[in-house]
Amino acid sequence: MLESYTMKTRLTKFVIHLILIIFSLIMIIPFVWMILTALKTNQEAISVSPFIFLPQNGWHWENFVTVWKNYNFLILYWNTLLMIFFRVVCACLTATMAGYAFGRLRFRGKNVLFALVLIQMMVPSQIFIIPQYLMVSKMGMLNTTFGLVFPGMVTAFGTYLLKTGYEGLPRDLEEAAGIDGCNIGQKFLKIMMPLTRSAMVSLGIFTAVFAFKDLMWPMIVSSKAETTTLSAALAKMQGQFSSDYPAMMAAAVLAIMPMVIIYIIFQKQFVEGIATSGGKL
Amino acid sequence: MKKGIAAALIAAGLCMGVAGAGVSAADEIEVSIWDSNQKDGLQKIADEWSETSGVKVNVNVVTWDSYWTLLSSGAQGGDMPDVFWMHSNTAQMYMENNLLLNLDDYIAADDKIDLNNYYDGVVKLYNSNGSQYALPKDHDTIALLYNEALFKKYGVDTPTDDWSWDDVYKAAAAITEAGAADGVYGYAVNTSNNQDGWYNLIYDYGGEVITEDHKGTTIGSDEAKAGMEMLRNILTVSVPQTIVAETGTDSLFQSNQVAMITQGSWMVNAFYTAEGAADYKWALLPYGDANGNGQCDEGERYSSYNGLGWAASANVEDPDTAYSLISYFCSKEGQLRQAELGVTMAAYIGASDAFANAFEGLDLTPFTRIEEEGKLFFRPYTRNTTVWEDALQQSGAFLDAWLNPEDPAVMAAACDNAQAIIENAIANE
Amino acid sequence: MKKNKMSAAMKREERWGWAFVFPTMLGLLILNFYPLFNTIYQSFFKTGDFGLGNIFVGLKNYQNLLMGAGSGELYQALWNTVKYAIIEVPFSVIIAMLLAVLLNRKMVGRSVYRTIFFLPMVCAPAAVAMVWKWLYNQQFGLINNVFHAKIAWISDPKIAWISIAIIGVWSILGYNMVLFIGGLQEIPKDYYEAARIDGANGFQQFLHITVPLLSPTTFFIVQTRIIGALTVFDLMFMVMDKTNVALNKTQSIVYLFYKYSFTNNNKGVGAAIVVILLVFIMILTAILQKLEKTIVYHA
Repeated sequence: MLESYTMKTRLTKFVIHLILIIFSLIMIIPFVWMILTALKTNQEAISVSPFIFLPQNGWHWENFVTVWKNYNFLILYWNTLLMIFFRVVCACLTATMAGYAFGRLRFRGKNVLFALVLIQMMVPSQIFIIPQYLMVSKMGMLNTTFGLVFPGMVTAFGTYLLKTGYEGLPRDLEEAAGIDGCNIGQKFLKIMMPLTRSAMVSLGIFTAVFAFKDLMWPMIVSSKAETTTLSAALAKMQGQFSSDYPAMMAAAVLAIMPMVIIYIIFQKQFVEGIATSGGKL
Repeated sequence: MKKGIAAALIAAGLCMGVAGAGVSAADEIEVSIWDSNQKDGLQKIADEWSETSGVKVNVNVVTWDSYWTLLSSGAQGGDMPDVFWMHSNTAQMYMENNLLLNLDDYIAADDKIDLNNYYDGVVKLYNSNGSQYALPKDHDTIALLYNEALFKKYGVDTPTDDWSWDDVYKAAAAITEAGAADGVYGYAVNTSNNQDGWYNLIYDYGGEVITEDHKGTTIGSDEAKAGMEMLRNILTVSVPQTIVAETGTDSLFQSNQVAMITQGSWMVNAFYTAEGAADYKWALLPYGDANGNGQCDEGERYSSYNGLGWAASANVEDPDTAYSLISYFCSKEGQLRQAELGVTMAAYIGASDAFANAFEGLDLTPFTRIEEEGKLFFRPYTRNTTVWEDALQQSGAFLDAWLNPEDPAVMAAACDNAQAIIENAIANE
Repeated sequence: MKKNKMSAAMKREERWGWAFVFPTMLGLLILNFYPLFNTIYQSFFKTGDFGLGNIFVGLKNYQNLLMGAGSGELYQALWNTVKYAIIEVPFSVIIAMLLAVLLNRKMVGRSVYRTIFFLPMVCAPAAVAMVWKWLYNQQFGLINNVFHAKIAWISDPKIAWISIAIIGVWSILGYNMVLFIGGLQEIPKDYYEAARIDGANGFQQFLHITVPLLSPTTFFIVQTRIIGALTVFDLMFMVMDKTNVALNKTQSIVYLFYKYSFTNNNKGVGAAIVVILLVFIMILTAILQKLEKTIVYHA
């Protein structure tokens, strides 16, 4: 009886791992194929018979160098980094302030204003894009970092996330500080803000990943190669060299590599950060 | 009240934007084009101009789609490139909205430019209300490109000057049948490119996509239908359109899977420098034997032609310098250089022989001979060409025919629908 | 509360509160609320060349899209989007739930699996789409070569929408799974203990404990995925070239919006399309909210 029980759990374990491994393979194969193709010559990549899995005549690392030079990836990385940096700073700064006010302070109009925040979260963001574009265009800010950052300067979702964070903090903390003669601004800076660090990190990661993945906005506001982001640049490369598969795959690898490396190092924070961000994807 | 504040802030932002825009020194000129094949050659010509003018030129390439986004958003935001290409699809709109620099006074004062030296259709295209807004950059014609090795391999005679579309059909059928085991097809129709493809057949058989006054079409006529019926036959022995949609006719040809395609003269360099270039040959664009007498009569061999123009932004920082560059590109000297370097054929009449000679060992006379042995029609355009061009590729128009080449009724219906689509679009312009 | 009765401390707090929400509210006003109304406003105009000289046309854009010449394209795009959602949402939710249940235990390699499943979430959809397009390639693609098939995955109008939905499922699977794991950990362990003593097997436990107690999470995921699927753009845009013969039968409503607004420069029609999408989503959200009360198990 006992023996058959352990047999059964072993079998169950085996089946569970089998299923998980099959799905892992499905998830991983596209990435493997991306890298393998990037290392082939185009002739190898499109040879059908016999079908080639591994590069045959040497691993062509120079594909990466060529793509790097031809598309000026350094500038693409820099543009993307700047956009992410400013979006994260703006979003965290405005959201933590507003979150604190909505979560902890009493003021007239609070409910009405917070309702506006909630409404923004319910509306699909595509509806804002035409006027946002026209504003950037009229300001003469097309093809600038400001243009890329523009729609992400404030965040309704982040405000909501941090409001929840501040509400969760115990009341007496603040009261004790109040007695010590701190004003509200000092209380916020010294006591409350540091306590919501994890929510801020989540918001920061979410904002960064979302900005990194965004395609439509950078395509619209930066049509020049020198000012665009990785995502939008990929879209253009595909239009230009639709049949040089190794080059395209090399470009794709270069585009996702930084984020994947950071993700693997900070995976716990990433998973939590993006998962807590809930509905906004 | 809040709205008032917001409005005030936006207004303030707008003022700052206006004040901040357009500060760039005129010691550098930004040139935008969409064809990466031409970049090196044009940069070389521009550098020659820089030597005398002392002004640096940056030639930037963006893809076709991005190019028009860049230009139209630049037109709205006041930030266009300094010097750029114009195309028949959109020229009318740009000229009518005064977005291009009016070149009349410059041309009058320039002894290097005489508009009579250029292909008439290209000159007229960039003229609106009697004013010239761009100078002709080039002109292009279409020819048949074939892979000699594949013809030999399957024992089919290579194309000659006497081929009609019917001969193309027979050869394509033979190769497609013989090459089935290798996945090789005789022909590939690039349905999404009308200029180098199916437009020519319509004209061969006596139809017109856009009538000469640019106010109508005869695409639904029996003549046009006969041309499209010929194309339909060719489609049945060509690469299926689902494959063309993914890989493109040029790539299919270069990977030795297709024996024949049609292409324009602007692509010569790309095929000349390709891996298998030794096997690639150009032949005269076939004729449509509309009267069925087995020979090419007057009006049975047509090639579309088109020409780009060099234009400058109406708000360009330093119009004199910008024009000076344009003038150099379009002068006889610049046009000869463009042809010699194998960039494209010239817009300057008589300068194209240099182009044919630029590619050693390759016979490019099919592009020039068609001007004498056949007729040219200017690439059909109206004020807003893209609207009906896009519509023609949709379901309800030719898309159904591309996907069901076996059914003649579908093609005929598509022609009728196309007639209505174009008439409708012109009415709305 | 009357003004004169407010204490000095309360007034101070009020001033701080307004100051703190000011940047966010101003931003929302300029970046979201003004655009919301401006989009609706623009949808009543025929856009002139280069956005200059727009002409007021009333409801004509809507009339054309809903009943006139543009209706075929619009309804096809709406239907394409719905079809995409019908594949993407159920498959990504059910597979993710299965994986979450399997992973919700102490086991070797748990975090490795999680890392792998979640990987597509941090990759730019542009890159993901490029790889899949290559995998799907009719002649040279890995899939057709491995299975010796000749399927036109992304250019046959009958199946291209399914192929794209598969990429969608693949991309979002890990994210849904992580949310499910979060939901599973909130189910008290003793429920399962009690069931085991009663002799319920694994499957019965799943059906009678996991499914109902997980239903708030499930509902949340389904709801957000539906909205997400209805606004799909990146994958479509990257996989389907403008010249793809299957584009008609696959393009989503946001793709159509993008095409009209930024490729054809017809922002009036683009605005009308996105307003129609907004209304569609609002109606759907309302229906879902109604359904929540009956579907979701409230302990």
